[in-house]
Amino acid sequence: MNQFTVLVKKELIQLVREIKLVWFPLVFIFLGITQPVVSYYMPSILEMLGGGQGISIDPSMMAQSGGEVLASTLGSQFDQLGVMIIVISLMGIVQSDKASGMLAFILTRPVKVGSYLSGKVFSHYVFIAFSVAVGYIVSYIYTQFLFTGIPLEDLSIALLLYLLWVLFIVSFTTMISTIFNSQGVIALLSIAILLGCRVIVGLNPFLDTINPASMSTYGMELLVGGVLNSNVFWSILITLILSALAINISNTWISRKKYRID
Amino acid sequence: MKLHYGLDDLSEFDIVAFLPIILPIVAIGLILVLTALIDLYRHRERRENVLMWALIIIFANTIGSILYFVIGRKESGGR
Amino acid sequence: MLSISELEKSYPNKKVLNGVNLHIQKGEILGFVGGNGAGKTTTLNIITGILDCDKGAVSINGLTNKSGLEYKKQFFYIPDTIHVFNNVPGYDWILFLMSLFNIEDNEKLDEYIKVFDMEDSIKKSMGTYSYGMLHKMSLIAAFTINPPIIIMDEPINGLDPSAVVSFKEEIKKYVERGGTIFFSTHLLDVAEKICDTIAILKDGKIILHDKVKNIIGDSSLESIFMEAQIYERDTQPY
Repeated sequence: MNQFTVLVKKELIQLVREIKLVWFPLVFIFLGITQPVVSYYMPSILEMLGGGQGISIDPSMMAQSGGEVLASTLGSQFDQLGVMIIVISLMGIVQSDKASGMLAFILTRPVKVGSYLSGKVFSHYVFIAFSVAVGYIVSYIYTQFLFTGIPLEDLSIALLLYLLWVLFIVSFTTMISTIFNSQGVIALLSIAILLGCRVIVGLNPFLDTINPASMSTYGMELLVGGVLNSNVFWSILITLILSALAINISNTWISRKKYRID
Repeated sequence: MKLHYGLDDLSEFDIVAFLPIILPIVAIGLILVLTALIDLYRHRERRENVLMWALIIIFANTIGSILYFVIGRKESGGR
Repeated sequence: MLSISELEKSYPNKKVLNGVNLHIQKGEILGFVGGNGAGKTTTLNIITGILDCDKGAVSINGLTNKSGLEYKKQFFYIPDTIHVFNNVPGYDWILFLMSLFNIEDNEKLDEYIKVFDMEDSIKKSMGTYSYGMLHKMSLIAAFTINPPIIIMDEPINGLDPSAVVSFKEEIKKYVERGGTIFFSTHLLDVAEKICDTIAILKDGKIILHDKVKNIIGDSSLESIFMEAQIYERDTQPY
C-alpha cells in the first residue's frame, strides 16, 4: 500500500467510526425528498391553512415540470442547507489536526504533506459526492413520481456539473481550515464566501465564467430548459484550476510550517 | 385538475396515495433521530450537554438530529 | 550518525538555541538532559521536522532535515504527548505507522506486543489507553519498525516496573542490532543504568557530552549533572 491509500483508508475508517457514513447521506436524501414533496403538497397545505373559504391557486403553479422541481432541489435545498452542512462538517478537516497536535505528529513521520492533504480531500470528496448523488437520485425518483420525468442525459450531466461545484466547496473549505485556527471563523468565512459566490451568479457573464458556483446554475438551466450554457467548458476548466489552487495553497501553508504549534 | 378545495374535502384526501410518499420521509427522520440518540447514549460520558442534546433531538426530531450530528459531536476532555 | 551543528532558533521574544553542537555515534544510547526553557523540546522539534531552525544543520546518516521523506524514515519519534484517534484500535494504528515506513512484519509486531504485555488491550480503541499504555504502544511500533535511530521524549514516564524492565532489555537488543537511541529524561537512575552517554543542554548550548562512567566517576562533572537533574525535577509541569 502506498502512503496515499493508507491515508485514504485512515480517513474512511474515521468516517465509519464517526457514523458520518450513516447520517450524512440520510441528510441529503431528506433534503432531496423535501423539495418535490413540498412543491406537490403546497397547494393542499396552503388550502388547509386558508380555512373554509379555500384559496384559489394559480393552476400554472401545478404545471411545474420535473426538471424545474429537481432544479429547485439543487438551487434551494442543496445550495443552501446542503452547502452549510458540507462546510460545517468539514470545518475541522485540517484545523482539528492542527489544534490537537496531530498534524505536527503526522509530519514527524515519513508522510508527504501532499499525500496527507490529497488523502483528506479525496476521501471526503468521494464520500460527500456520493451522498449528494444519492440525495439527487432520490429527489429525482420523487420528482418523476409526482411530476414528470427528465431525460437521462440531462439528469446525469446536471449531476456531474453540480459535483464539480461540490469539489470546489471541499477544496476551498480545506484551504480555509488550513489557514485559520478557529472553527467558528472557518465555518463563517467559508459559508459566507461560498454562498456569496452562489448569490452573485447571473450578475455578470464574465464573473459567471470564473465563478465555480455557476456549475450549479448551469446544471439547473440544463434541467429546466434542456440547454447547456456555451461557457460551460471554460467554467469547468476554471473550477478545476481553482480547486487545485486551493489545495496547493494549503500544501504550501503546511510545508512552510505556518500552522500554529501550541 | 381541481385546485379549489374546501375544508370538507380534507376527509377525501387520498391516504393510500399519500402513504408511499410520506412513509420514506418518516422512516428517514426516524432513523436519523434513533442514530443520533444511540450515538449520544454510547458517548454520554465524553459529550458535553448530553441532556440538552437529547431534548433537542427528541423535540426538534429531524432538524434536531441533523444539528446534533453537525455540531453536537464535540467531545469534552478528548485527547 | 545523528549530527547537529551550530543550531540556532529564536522565538519572537527570546533566543532558545544558541549554537547547539551534538554528534551521536551509531550504537550510542544518549540521555539528553536539560531544564525547562533550556531548549530541549525545541531541539527535538527541529530534529523531527516539526520546526525549522534559523541557522545550522541537522543530519542523520548523511541525510539532512531538508531531504524530506528519506530523512524521516531514518528515525521513529515517540513524543511526550502521543496523539491518537480515540476510536481506532492500537493495533490498526501501529499497522498504519508501519505502512508509512514500508514495513510489513506482522510476526515481529505480535512478538513485541507479547514482550510489552499488551495482548489484551492492543485491539481496544486508543481512547481507553492510559498514558503508560500509549507509550508502550509507541515502543512496540518503534521496535517493529526498527529504524536507524529512535528518538524519545521522557520514555519512562507512566511505564509500570515490568514494562521498564522490558524497555531496558529491548533497548539493549535494538542497539546490538545496530540501532541508536536518543532520549531526553530527568531520571538519574534510569540515565545511569541505560545510557552510555549523557548530553546536558543549558541556556541553548550543550555544556557537556560524555560517557556516563566518566561523569559518575568525576565529582565536578557529577555536580553539573546533578544540578541539571534537580533543576529539571523541580520545574516539571506534572
